[in-house]
Amino acid sequence: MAVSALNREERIGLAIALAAHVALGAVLIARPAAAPTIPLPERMTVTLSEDVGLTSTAPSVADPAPDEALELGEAAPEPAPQPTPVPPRPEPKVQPKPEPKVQPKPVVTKPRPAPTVAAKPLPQPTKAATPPKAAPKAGPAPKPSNAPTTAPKGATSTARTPNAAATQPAKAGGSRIGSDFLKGVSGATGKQATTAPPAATVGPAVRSALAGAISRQLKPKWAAPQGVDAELLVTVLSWDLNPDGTLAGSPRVVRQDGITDANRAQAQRHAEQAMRAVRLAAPFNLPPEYYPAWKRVSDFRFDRKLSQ
Amino acid sequence: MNLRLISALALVLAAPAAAQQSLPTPQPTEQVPEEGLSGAVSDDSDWQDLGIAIPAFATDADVPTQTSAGSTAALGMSLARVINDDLKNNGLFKPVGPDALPRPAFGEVQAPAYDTWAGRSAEMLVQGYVRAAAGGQVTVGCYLYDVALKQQLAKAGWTVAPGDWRRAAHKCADMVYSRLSGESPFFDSRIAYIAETGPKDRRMKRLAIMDSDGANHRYLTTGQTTVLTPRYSPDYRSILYLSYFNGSPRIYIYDLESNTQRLLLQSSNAVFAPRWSPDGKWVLYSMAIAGNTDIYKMPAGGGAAVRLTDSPGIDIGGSFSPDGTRIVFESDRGGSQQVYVMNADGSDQRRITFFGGRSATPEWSPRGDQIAFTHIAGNFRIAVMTPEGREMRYLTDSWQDEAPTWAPNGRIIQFFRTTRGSGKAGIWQVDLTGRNERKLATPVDGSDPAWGPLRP
Repeated sequence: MAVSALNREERIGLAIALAAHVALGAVLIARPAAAPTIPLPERMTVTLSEDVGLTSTAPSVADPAPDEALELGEAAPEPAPQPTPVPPRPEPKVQPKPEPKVQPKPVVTKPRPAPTVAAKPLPQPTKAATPPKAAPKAGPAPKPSNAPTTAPKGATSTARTPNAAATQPAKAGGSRIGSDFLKGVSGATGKQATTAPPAATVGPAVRSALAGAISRQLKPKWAAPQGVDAELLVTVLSWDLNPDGTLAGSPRVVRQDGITDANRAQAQRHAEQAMRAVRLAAPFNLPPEYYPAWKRVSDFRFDRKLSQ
Repeated sequence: MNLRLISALALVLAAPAAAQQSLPTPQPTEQVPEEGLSGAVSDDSDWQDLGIAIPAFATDADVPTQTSAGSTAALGMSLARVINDDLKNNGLFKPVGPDALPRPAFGEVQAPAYDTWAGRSAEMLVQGYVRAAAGGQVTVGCYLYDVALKQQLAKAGWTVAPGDWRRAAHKCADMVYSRLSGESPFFDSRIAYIAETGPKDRRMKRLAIMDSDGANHRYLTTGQTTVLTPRYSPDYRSILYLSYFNGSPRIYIYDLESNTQRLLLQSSNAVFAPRWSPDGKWVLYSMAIAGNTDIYKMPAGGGAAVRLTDSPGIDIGGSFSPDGTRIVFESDRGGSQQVYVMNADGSDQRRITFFGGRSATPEWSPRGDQIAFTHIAGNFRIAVMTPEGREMRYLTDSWQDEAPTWAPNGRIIQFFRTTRGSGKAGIWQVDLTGRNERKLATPVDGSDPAWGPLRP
């Protein structure tokens, strides 16, 4: 009762306060909403490609993406007679070449690869994210949409450039949509497939799989020494392998971490045990086609994790 | 709230921007694909004790010896048993002794049949030989092999007097232990303690010594006087101890070579806890004068004593750091027993234990990296801490464990445990990780253990 009496006044106040908060929240949420959406996809791509995928992960994976990108990009432009104006919504549609972001294709001169990133997010959420990396690498040649996905491979970018160069000039004059759409898609994919070397280069997935395979083979042989603070010790080894999986030379200690006064006595033993584990695991069973990737193990960490 | 929300949002917003900026950077730094593979492997299994096969030591000719073990062949068997017991009782290893293994031929000692031993799931192999040497001495060789890697890890040989044959086994065990654990050896050492017999009210306390494995046990005093707190001198030649003769305390030094004892200090005041300095030149002790107990230092050869503390409370039980520059002791000047450190000349006294409860009987590790003490909070428990008084760890959890003493390598601690009710005391040991706790076999009850240094 008392509550209700008080409540009346307060209800209003409360309602206002709530409404204000909601409104404020809405405003706050609404504002960021536009911006945050962009970053999310970018993050994903960053972590994935940045790590190890220096050269090519898997050509097959990259293929599908370019196709879509082309279609999308082109579908939009329809109305405009000019080649590239449309795809890049943010930017002027008048001139194909001048456009910084969208129109790398026409010519080698790409004004600025990086700056475009911010603007792009809107037009193509997912693909826009990728361009930053692709653009710098691919350099002048790649098209805006294609570049992101294809960029990782050297082969793709080169394959496409010719296409782009050839097609674009023609488009500028007349119907760009039809020719580019058909040719670009089919041609690009076809060339990629043919030009990309089978497995000459090793992507991050393969690398981590190889590291995992080595780790699995070492594990049963690796026993850290016991002692006070011995679990703090970390030994990092490097070693070379022959194509048949045997050791070439002996393992070397790259460095040791976690040495304290209490466990100093075990440090040497720790390294010795780690090298013993490598020797015992020695004929490593690893896929021969990736030998270039595992012939040198440069940085393998041996430690102990207390079980719970 | 709002501010926080906004700042949180700002963070969210900033993160992608930062990510965006950082994106391009990694790419340009393309590394050479020749960089090599990296990865990690962790040992997350429980500690696995290392399997060691210790077959009987081989001999080239079975001849009689003057040892208590008998002929060289029998001696070879006994040596392997001693090594097996040493390694078995101290954790880390899971040895298989000579009674369950075939005896290798003399020629195999230096060229082991690895495949045979691998089949017995032994990771390490200890082999050795025994030969009769001139003058009744025996020569013992000891070899450690890695069965999996098929390589020799260590070897050593000793020629010892017939009465010291167990020392050869201890030295072999030491070699194996230090090679496989990285720690300093300690099996070839001796322990002094107080052997207790008789009823509670008329307890007879005698000074006794034994090898680290309990062998070669010997009583040094008759029990006519009560003996307390023995300490081996750093050179093993003598033992410092406290004895009550007709109720008045005396500090004696027992000479182990001549089996005589020398009176160092006699006082009408109560005297406690004599200790050596690491160089054996000084003796620390505590003396109570008119209810005020302080720590004194006097030359081991006798002479004028120097008073190191002068607080009104009870200062007792000094223990030198291994470099001899500092002393850790126990004092109740703050109201309860706590551990303090000071310089060897008595300056810069400060308390280091702030763990609640009381802390007593500090003992500096021979490695200098830890101080062992008795922590009293309800029960008496053995604990260790750094010399700065940090990172206390309990090693035992029983009713009454006290008076820790260090193994020469500073990795194992002995103490005595009193059983609730019966009041029986026994000597126990535990390693510095708190594992591998075990009771030492002594003929009678034991207390006040003192572990001597490694034998020269």
